[in-house]
Amino acid sequence: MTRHRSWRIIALVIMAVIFALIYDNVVSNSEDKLLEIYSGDYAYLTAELMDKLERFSSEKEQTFPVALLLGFKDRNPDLRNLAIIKDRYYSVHTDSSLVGSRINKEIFDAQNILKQNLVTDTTERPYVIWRENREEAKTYLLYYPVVRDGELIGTILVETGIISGFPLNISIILVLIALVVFFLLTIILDLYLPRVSFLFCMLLFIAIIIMVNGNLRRQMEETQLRWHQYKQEVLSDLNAYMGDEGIDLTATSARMELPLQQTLRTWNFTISFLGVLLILLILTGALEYFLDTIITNRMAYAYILPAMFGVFLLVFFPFIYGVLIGFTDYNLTNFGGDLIEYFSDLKNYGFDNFYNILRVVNFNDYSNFYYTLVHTIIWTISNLAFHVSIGVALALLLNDVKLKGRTVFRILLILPWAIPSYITALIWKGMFHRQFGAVNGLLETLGFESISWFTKPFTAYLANLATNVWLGFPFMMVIALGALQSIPKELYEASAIDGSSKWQTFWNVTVPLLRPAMVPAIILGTIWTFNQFNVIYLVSGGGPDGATELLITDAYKLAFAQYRYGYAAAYCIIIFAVLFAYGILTSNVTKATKGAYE
Amino acid sequence: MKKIILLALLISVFLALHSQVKVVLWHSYRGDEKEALVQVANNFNNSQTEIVLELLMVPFDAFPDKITAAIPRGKGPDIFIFAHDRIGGWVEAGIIEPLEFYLEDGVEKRFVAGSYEPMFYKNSVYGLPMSLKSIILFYNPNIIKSPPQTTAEMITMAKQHTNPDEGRYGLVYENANYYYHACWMQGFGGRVFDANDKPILNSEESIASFQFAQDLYLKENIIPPEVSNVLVTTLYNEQKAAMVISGPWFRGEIDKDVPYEIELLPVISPVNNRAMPFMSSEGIIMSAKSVHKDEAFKVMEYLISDDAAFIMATIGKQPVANISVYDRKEVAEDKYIPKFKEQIGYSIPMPSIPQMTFVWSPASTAITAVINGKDPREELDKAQATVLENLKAAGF
Repeated sequence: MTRHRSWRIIALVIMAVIFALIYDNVVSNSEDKLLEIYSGDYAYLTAELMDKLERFSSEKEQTFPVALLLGFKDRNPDLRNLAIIKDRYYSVHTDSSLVGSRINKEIFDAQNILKQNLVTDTTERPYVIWRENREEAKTYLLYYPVVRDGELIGTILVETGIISGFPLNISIILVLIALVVFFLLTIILDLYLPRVSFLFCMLLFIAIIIMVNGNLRRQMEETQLRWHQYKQEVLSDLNAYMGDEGIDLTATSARMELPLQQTLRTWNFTISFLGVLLILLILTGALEYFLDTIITNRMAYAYILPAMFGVFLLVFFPFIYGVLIGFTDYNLTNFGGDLIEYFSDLKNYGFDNFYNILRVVNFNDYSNFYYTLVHTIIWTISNLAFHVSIGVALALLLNDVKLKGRTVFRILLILPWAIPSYITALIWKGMFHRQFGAVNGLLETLGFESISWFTKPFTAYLANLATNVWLGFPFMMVIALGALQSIPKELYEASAIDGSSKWQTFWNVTVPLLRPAMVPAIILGTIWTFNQFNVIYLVSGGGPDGATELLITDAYKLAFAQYRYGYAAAYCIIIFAVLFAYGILTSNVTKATKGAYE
Repeated sequence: MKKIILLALLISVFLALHSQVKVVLWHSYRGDEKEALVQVANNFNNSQTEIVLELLMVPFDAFPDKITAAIPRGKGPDIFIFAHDRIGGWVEAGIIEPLEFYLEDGVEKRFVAGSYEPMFYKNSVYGLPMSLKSIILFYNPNIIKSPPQTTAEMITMAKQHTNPDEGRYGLVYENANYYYHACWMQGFGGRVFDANDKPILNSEESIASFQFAQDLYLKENIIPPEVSNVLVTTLYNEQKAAMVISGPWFRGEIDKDVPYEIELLPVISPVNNRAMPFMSSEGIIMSAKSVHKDEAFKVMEYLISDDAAFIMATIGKQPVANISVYDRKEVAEDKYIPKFKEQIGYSIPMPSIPQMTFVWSPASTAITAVINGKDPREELDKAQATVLENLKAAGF
């Protein structure tokens, strides 16, 4: 193992950097969360206070909120400036980056609560004043005119953005020192104790993480305490000002404790998950084995690295993402939120989607899963039957050396495949038009009634089928043609000498030798046809009444017409499961990979 | 030496570019509208040096889905132009930014009545209206001398100019599309949602309108079968359609040598009410994830300014939302734009609540079935049940 020392160290450095990045992310995330919680909370708090104050003050003096704001200014060093311009209040604070879209939402929730509960007869929309000082300062101040019987009797203010920072002092230097010590120890240990060094270093790193995490938690608790004290101070001020009419804020306090605990649990979950995973990997030797394999076969891995990267990015990542979504209720109402937060909360996962999809069996309901499944299977089988028979028949014709102009025919017959399927599908849709379509034109010339193709499930199905047969046979033809051309002539000669008929030759020589090429093509064709989105979507559009939907077009509609992403993803997982089972089953039964002469 | 100069040049160019803030605007305009918007953008970029407005055209069909997918991932535009009807869903998904913080008092007075209100969702405003779109009656003056004022007149006239064997039809509109059908539905007094946002697809008025649409096709035989938007354009351009119901976008699809006039949608004879189409107020909307919101708002303000609206009206041929533009001679004397504005007075803003997305598919299924002879009440009861069920499943 020692011969790979430099590689191991590099691997360690990379892992450490990844850890540092994850950790940094966790820290900054937690700071953001604290701010969100407190700023939002602050909006509620001030709203509540202001309401009480307003009711109190409207009887006494109209200028009351100004005095209150001035009091805030003395209390809060972050509040730099306060100005009153034409009955509107402007205040300026120190940090602009802290007031984000999330806080907007909080304000508007507060606004709605106010509207529903307090200002029942407001005739005007509330003013929302936004003052900002470019780079460094931003705050929101909402000013509600309270109007009763057409008269302005008071104002309510909701203010937020005042909380400008709860710095969590995870000093970067501390983390850096820890990392440097960690690397030095790694290198020294690797020199003298190569066998245990890896395990030891990882344990050390986990220890550092746990320590810093403890530090973080302590600081959060301190912050919470500070906020509490601050609130108490403001409250006592207000109570002193207002005399008998005290303020009960037990409700807001209770609300405040809750989200903080939740956030901490989320990080703990993330960190412990990674830690446990790492320890398991180390204890089972998987990590060491994995690194060792990579190091031993480093050239091979270096060659496939770009491809692996691409495959991960384009195949595995979306796949894992889709599977994750399938177990959640991810929909229109929670689409824009913080994804990491959403997906790291175990509460959001469950099997409801699958249960709801598979629960009801009803073949009269076109949107029922089982109806669509059966329709999809019939669709696949009927298509494949046409694809293979037409494809093989044409291949046999084209393979005949006596046929003149073979190249021209071959090119012509591949055309349906070469033209983009969207165009072909739209042309076919036009051809099935009730009045102006070519198909009905032909029927009428032949003396038949013209048919309204897309109003009945069966005729709509036929229109889809015709389109997809047209699109699908060239592929089978090309495969069959290739296989036919590789059959040695000696076999046909031997068969002729044995006196077999053409039919016997076909069944006993051609078919067995076509099989190895056709079976994988059929498996592939099945999967394509099963998920043939374009034809259904463009030709019948799933109609009438969803009778010709396939599972995949149903999933599309769930995701992009109803925005039920979770449910649609669950649908796709089931489609995947069906095709996966099919793939394994057929490759076992037909021995798809069996060679021609085995 | 040359290299140093070159380097210095490069650096200075880089710095010059860097000091400007780039605001990206997505739109789905084509043809005249696009040309007008490009001109407005150029005027804006020439008028100042701080902000560079960059336009990106995204095809209409893909537009809402691209917005929904791109903005939360930080890949979307700073601002975009779209109809108001998706605002609710985008607000619920945290995709677009409320504008109260930026707006002056009295901004609503700058817009045509009815154009600003649709931009509201839950008491906050999310867009500034640029143009108003609703469908209207197009007719071919070579075929129809004076346009119909009532549906009875319309049917009589249409019958005179219908001959299925020659492929001629009196009236061509996408009758199986709920968006177009809504003009009858709302003219009869039906609505998609009641005051509490509950869907009421199967109201008596709505059923009557479905029956009316069925009669137009099956009984009166004045509409061709299976009308798609391509068929509408083709028949009109071949002068085989006497009347067409479509929106302002249809003007760009009419061939240059085919004449057209427009008229308000007719009064529905059985109920003596004018047909009330859906109106979409197309506005400029700000992304919640934009990092240059102040600059973006400056661009938005420019886009609703009188000068910009004038260009959108004259070159883009849009029924603009800016009210003062209608006083200018070129617009007031235009043959079409004031007519479109008049039709807006007989229209209903398309619902912008997110629930609306759940209505389209079942409602279209129902209208397709009814057009082809199914019973309106049965189909609408079914559609209503489906919508309620899907809404419940999606958590509404």
